[in-house]
Amino acid sequence: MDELQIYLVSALVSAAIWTLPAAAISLIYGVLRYPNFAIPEFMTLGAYLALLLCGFSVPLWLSALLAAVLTGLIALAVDQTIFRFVRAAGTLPPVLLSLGLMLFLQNGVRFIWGNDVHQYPIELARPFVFAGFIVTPTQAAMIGAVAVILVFGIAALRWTSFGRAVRATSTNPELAVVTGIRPEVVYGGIIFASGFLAAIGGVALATETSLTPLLGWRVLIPLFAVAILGGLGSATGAALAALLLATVSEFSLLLLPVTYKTALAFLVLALVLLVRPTGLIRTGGIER
Amino acid sequence: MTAYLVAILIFAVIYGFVALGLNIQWGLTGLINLGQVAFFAVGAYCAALTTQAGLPLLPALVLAALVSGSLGGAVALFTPRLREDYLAIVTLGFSEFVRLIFLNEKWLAGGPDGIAGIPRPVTIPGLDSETSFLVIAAVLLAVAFWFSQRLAHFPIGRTLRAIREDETVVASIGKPTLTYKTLAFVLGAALAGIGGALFASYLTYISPDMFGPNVSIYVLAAVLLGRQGSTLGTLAGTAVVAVLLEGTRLLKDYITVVDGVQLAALRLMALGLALMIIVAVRYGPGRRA
Amino acid sequence: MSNLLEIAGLNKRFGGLQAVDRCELSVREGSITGLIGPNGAGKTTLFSIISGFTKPDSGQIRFGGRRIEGRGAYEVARRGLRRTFQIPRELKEMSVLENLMLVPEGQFGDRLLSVLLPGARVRQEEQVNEAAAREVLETVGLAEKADIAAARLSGGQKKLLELARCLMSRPRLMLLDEPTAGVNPTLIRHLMKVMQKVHASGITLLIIEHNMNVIMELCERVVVLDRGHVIAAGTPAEIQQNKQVLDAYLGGVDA
Repeated sequence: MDELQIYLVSALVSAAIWTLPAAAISLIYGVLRYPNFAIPEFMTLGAYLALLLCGFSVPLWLSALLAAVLTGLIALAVDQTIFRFVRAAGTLPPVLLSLGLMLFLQNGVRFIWGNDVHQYPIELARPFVFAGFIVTPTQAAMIGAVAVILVFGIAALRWTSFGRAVRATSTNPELAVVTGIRPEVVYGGIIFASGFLAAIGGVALATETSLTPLLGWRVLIPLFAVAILGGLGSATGAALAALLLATVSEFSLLLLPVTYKTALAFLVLALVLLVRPTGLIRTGGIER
Repeated sequence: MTAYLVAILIFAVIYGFVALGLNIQWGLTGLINLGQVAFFAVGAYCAALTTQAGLPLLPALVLAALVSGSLGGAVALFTPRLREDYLAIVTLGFSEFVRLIFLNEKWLAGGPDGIAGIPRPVTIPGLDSETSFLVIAAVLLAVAFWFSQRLAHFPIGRTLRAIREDETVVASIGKPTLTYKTLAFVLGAALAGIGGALFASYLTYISPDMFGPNVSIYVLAAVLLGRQGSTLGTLAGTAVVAVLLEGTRLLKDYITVVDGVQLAALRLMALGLALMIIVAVRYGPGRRA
Repeated sequence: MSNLLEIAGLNKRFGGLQAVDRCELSVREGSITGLIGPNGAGKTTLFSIISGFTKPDSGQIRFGGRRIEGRGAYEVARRGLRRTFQIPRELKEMSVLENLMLVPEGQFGDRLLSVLLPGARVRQEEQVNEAAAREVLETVGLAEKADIAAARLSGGQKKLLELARCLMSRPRLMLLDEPTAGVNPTLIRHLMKVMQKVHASGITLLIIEHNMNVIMELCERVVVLDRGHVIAAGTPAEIQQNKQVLDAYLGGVDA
């Protein structure tokens, strides 16, 4: 087994973890036009909800799915009770709300589960070798699940009527309304999807590391770097950017200490915005 | 009990500097900064290292202001064309970047262990160490308040407010907007740096985990609560936030159903909720957009 | 008389659109020059380039004999070339008076140092600036509105404030972007009088305008822009007879 292959596997794992939450940030940005700093906390919440379900001997995959649905519903409830009222007030109010929500959720998790480190009850299984790459069964399952959800998501954006409504709303909200699309339905759907995607990402991250209240916060910078690098509003872009950033940051380990991975993500983010202050690729409109 | 009150007041005064700084950047000039903790941290480390090397407190404060201010200027110069939302992301990311540097560079700042044994070198004859510190910090805050208040009400403050309202107009009447925006960032960062220096000197111990994003959110809530742009309001907002955060520690003796971690978590949940409510009321339907 | 503003070979492209196309234009010192053309002819883009808000792809702009193309907006403004905005951009939260007191250049109170020194000098300066601002408000007829928030002005009054802000700096050249658009006939008469007063006080004017009566009455020279290119220039009477101009306008209607 080469070092190269170890790095590539780590990169793929990181990319799989980042893709869905980054896509959630990207989607919200594309449709509702604000950066949502609470997405990483929905990751944390989702991961802990899955832990809770695991406690009732529900298998992890099913726990993750149920936790994701629950997290989506919670995100939707918060949106409808609070964020909804500042829809017409520009970028800043929802940004501030998302900061308050970040503080609330992170400490809500801390209140219920404490600061202790938790683990999913995953049996240690022997890693298997696939074409020279060493992968654990959990990693393989996680990467596969993320890939399936990503493909489903992209397909839904492309071919379903809801997907078309999302793209229309993000490109031109006024026109979308004229054509009979109800924006609040689109917003609600996007918020639910974001909570769902974030929770799956949270469970994925927790299988690789462990559950702490800071689980999601730790990846906030990489997620935003990925979302911006992928061109805010694009799910495919997010996936590609996640792969790119993950590869770069894995290979940076040859030069930098491991704790600088996040710092590197910030530098990538800053560099992109320095070169293109209006964002990469484009800012208007959801892409598939 | 008195000692406890003094401690709360000292924290309020320290956060007061940081919030006044944010008020110049965001309240007055309209530049959102979610990473004010970065300048707070840099001021703290700067004072910790220099006072340990024997520098008296006041020169250390000046140095902290200069170093933090320069860093603020650098951030402003790198981000002049960024829209509000991107500036929010970059400043938040920047503060975490700065924290990671302190966490990793053991030679500079002791890494995860931080710096202990920072001197608190001021006492006023007849007062204990804590009270003298409070008096000195409060006098300095009064100076910072006077400065902020004059800045806001002088013609220069009018120009900063004009930039907040419409930068294009200010450029069209022949004023160098980038210079003013940079100035606002420098001043705000310098004030945060002074706050950080006092923080280090008061606690005599600092570590990277004290400089997470929460501090930025506290002062954001303070400025928001006091209405952006109002100097007096900012200080009042800071007092409310400080009481909410530090004052509720008193409850520990009376509330036994939750443990220490839970109480700390509840405090921050309350602050997060309060922040959301303020925003929803301030920007909700029927209010100014 | 000499030319205050001279534009030669100016180009600006946005994606597939040639917004300004080999534009040649000059404005004589002391004149009122009109700039007309169908919608989308590139008039506002041209203003935006002259005033330094948009960088041209190529070409030259001379103001008072010196090159200004590619300079930043605030530098161009400092040389005495000021613009108004088509849609008024009053500073809403400030009073009308404050909107104008913001304008004077080189205010001592605009420097950080002033905050740290005794306030007497700033107070004195503010008195002078306030007197100047009130005089300008008197000139444009907004004196009674001096102390209300600019947000509370009517649409027409905002147009006047836009003009007043420009006038406050006593520029050499004012670029007025549709000063009478969306304004009622009575106020149009008033605005025209104000513009004549401003002109009589020695300020050169370049005006984008759709109202042909205004053009006919005010301007001694008219320049016609179509698809970014100057297609005609002359006295208002000459322009009225020009067949190319008529075609451009009618063509604009069709397209």
